Amino acid sequence: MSKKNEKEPDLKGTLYSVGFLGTFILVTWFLAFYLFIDRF
Amino acid sequence: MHMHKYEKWWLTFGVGSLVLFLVIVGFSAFHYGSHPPSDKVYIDPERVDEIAPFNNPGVHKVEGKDWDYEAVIVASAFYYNPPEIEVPVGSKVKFIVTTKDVVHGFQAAGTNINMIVEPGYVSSYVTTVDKVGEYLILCNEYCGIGHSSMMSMLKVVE
Amino acid sequence: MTTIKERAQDFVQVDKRDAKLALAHIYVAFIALLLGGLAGLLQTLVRSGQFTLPWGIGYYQVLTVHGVLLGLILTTYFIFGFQIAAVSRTSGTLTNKQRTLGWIGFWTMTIGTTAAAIMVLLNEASVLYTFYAPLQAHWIFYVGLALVVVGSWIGGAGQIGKYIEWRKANPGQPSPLLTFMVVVNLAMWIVCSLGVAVEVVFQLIPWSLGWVDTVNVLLSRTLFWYFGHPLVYFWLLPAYMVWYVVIPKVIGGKIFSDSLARLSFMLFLLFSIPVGFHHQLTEPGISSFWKFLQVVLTLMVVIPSLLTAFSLFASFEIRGRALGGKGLFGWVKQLPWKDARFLVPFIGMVAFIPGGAGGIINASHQMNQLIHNTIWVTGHFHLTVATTVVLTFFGAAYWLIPHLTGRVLTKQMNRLAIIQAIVWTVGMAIMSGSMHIIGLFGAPRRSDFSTYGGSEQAASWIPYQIAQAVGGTILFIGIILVLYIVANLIWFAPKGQTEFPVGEVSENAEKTPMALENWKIWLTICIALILFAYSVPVIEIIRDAPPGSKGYKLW
Repeated sequence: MSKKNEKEPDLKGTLYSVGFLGTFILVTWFLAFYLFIDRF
Repeated sequence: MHMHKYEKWWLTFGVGSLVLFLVIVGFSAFHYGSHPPSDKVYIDPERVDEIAPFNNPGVHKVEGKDWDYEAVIVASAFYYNPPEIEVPVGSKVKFIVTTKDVVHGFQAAGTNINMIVEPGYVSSYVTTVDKVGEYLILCNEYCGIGHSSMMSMLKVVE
Repeated sequence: MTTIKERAQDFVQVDKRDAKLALAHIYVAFIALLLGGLAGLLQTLVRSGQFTLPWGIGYYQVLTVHGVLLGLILTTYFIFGFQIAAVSRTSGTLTNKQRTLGWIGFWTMTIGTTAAAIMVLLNEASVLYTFYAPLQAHWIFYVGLALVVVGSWIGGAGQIGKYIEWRKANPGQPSPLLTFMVVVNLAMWIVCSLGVAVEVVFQLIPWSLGWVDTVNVLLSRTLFWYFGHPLVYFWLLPAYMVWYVVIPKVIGGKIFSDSLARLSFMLFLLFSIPVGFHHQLTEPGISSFWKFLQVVLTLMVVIPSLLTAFSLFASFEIRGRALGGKGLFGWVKQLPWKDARFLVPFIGMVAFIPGGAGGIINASHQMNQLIHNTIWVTGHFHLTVATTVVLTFFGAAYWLIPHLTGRVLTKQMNRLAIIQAIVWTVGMAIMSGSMHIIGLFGAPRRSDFSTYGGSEQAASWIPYQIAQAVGGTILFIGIILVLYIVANLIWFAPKGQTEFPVGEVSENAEKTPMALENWKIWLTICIALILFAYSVPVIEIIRDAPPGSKGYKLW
């Protein structure tokens, strides 16, 4: 193991968690945008 | 400042999404003209009844403009004049609204017609009414005791 | 495992005199919670159509009570109580002068609150806490609220004074993180509340006293929202302080990064203020260009929250893995779910995911027409303020109050606190969920029950309004529970020592750059951004103003 690996903690779970969060934001935003476009 | 590799990925993804939202709404607004109601048209709130077009509230067919109908509405505590607006489906309508007293809202439920009406200002919104139906117009900005009885009806007919 | 000796070294008790000042603020906060919460319950019941208010009490009177007490009083007082304790805990006991400023501020705010409350109860001020000129309240209402703001400046000066003293005594060193965060929050508060102070002192008070006949309505609204949005960040940042500094210690871990925490607070200072137009997106008199510019700045303020989300998950994952959590999400199981000090704020964090997503939608320029002034917005801020912020404050109260009163949170109270949070979550999911849904159908916010002349659309909203009353009732039970716990912690819990948890920074984190404490730079950028975003539109609002409005009393 290199020294760099020691410094960088394993944050895969964090990456997936924020990934879920970001996806949620994108999906809800586009749903709202669709509703806006659909209405007059 | 040092950042974890994944944090850089996350920030890129997050900031990228925000930029995407801004590009979409910015392009819709400044290229396609889908602006939120932002008129800079002024009126003396004490003399609304004397000043055109508010001296004749109602739906008027117009010629030679970018829209087919003008719906002229005067809001006051706690009424909209006229109490009903009827327009044919598919027509392009300009809603022109002002108030004689306090701040009111003007919203047709279930549509994007939603704007604040302020004393001294004229608010307007142009849209093509493309779905038949009856849409409740209500006041959504607190204006006093009768706020929740303030209404009109938008009828989009065949 | 920490040894007993290490724990003894770790333990820092907030000075008794400072504790008294902090507690005074916290008492007022929880009284406001009771009264404001009761008003909220009444609103949801009325809006269901099944109940009318007795004794000629007006719906909008109750709504004003709810907004002022919970939006302004509960938040400001709890935040000040927490901040005073936090500064005293991390930078040392306040000097007599700093503490005296705290007391003068407290009494100024409390006199102001009482004056405003009396006017609301006499039905002289049913203008809601957003003022709504040209609706005109009694002048005492405006003076009262002005006193609340001025009192907060005086009390805030005491807290800032401690920070300045610490920096002078420790040249070249980064200040304690928690104190630094308090000062950022106060700086933001002072800069933004200047706007509402100008509105109240120069527009509303002279107008309500009859010294001037008319008011510039759009200017008053613009000044209000210049204050109104940073106000919500003033609520949120203390919750972030708990998340960044306290929670890592509660779970037995470390603060992920001191510099990133400071950086995100500074970004809040910069981008919280020049964004008020996103509350005025559907208003006339402000051009689409300036609205869009502030929309861009509004989305910038999302960035520090993105940073925060990562830091929090990271500190959880690092701790969970250190305790033996394996695989992608094995660390989640290792977190102290049975500790109310962790679980209650954690639910608050989760609520900020839909809360934040909804906020981005609200601020998206013309898309605001979809939800502007619908009850969706009410649903939105009941997630952000009434869940994220409030549950974090409750979670903090469970160690802060016993720390200050010299008592301990018993096992039973800890269990009750967890039940409280679950009750809150269920009640809020029902209430806020229904509000979001009928908001999209077009149901308005700040509105009494109405069938709108038998409109079909309005009829379809009623089942959801009943659901709101169910949710509101469950939430009120939640308020009773939290008040029971708080009363226990003040008067009845066993005597003992309770820790004020303050996390340490991870060994892996790099040294904090001193540039983050260079206030000249940050305040200059902050003010430059405000001038950039507001100068031209405000000049236009004043220069092109239509005839002003006389006052109306329509309630």
